Amino acid sequence: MSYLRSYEGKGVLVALNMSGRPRKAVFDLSKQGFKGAELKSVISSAASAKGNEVMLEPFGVFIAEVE
Amino acid sequence: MENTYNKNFPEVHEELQKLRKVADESNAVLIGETWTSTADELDRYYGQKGNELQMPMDFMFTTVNQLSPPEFRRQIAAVDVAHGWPVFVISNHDIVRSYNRYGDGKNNDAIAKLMGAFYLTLRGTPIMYYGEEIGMQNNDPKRREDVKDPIGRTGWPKEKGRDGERTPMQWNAAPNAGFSDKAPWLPVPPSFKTHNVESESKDPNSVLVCIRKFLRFGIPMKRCSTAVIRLSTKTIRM
Repeated sequence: MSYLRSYEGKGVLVALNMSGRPRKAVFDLSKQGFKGAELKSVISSAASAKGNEVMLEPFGVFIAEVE
Repeated sequence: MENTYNKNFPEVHEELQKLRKVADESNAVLIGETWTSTADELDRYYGQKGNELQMPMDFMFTTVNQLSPPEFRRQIAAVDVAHGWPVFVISNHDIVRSYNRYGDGKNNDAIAKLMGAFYLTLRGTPIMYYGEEIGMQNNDPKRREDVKDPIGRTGWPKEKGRDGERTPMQWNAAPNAGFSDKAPWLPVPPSFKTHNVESESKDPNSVLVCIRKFLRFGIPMKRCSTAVIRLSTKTIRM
């Protein structure tokens, strides 16, 4: 599950793996007004990111600023 | 028991409007333990003119007892329909702790962190039940004679009551989890030896340290989400 919170051109992406299996998520946030945006990890737990690709271990959490 | 004659009277709203007038005189906020079945019911507690509770708790969220993104999305969308500020709750003194409800028995700490990240970063105000931040678990009574809650005494063995979610806060690994040097009203669960504030404060991977990070990050987000500066929340399907 993931969601984007945004205000005045800045955004925060929250990605959560609610399953017991690893998940990969690729984010294209251009429709949300963040074309070509980079994910800058703020807090993560059992998760990592490369570019706009997020790897979430079971029950992993990834929170990033979107710029 | 049918609650037709003791719940959700229309007169409740008239009384809440009176309370709100008093609260406004003191610039106070009214928070409600509002058990509702539908978003419409919840909406009514804000008041038709926003003149009742500023923060009625959304207990419909607690009815999602599994890690189900579609169910959570549905609940978030439902409370967004209500006109007021969302107030999310995942545990309280009347329901089995979130650590047990969502835990799978193997990854409970990871799931406790996940749930913390989830409801601390949503648009709205999270209300945390004590012990959630350290992964406290229910300690349900094993014998009828140990039950303190009248609901558990009359409903035993099918209904064990609410003692399990009302045990003392777990401060350290000392007897009674450091809560008291006398036997408390309700006993702490065996997990207090690992799940307590003192031990978890020293462990960088603990539930407590993780929740503190989310809180530090989440609080500025909430500040931005006031009526003056409001953030939007969008769910992206994956």
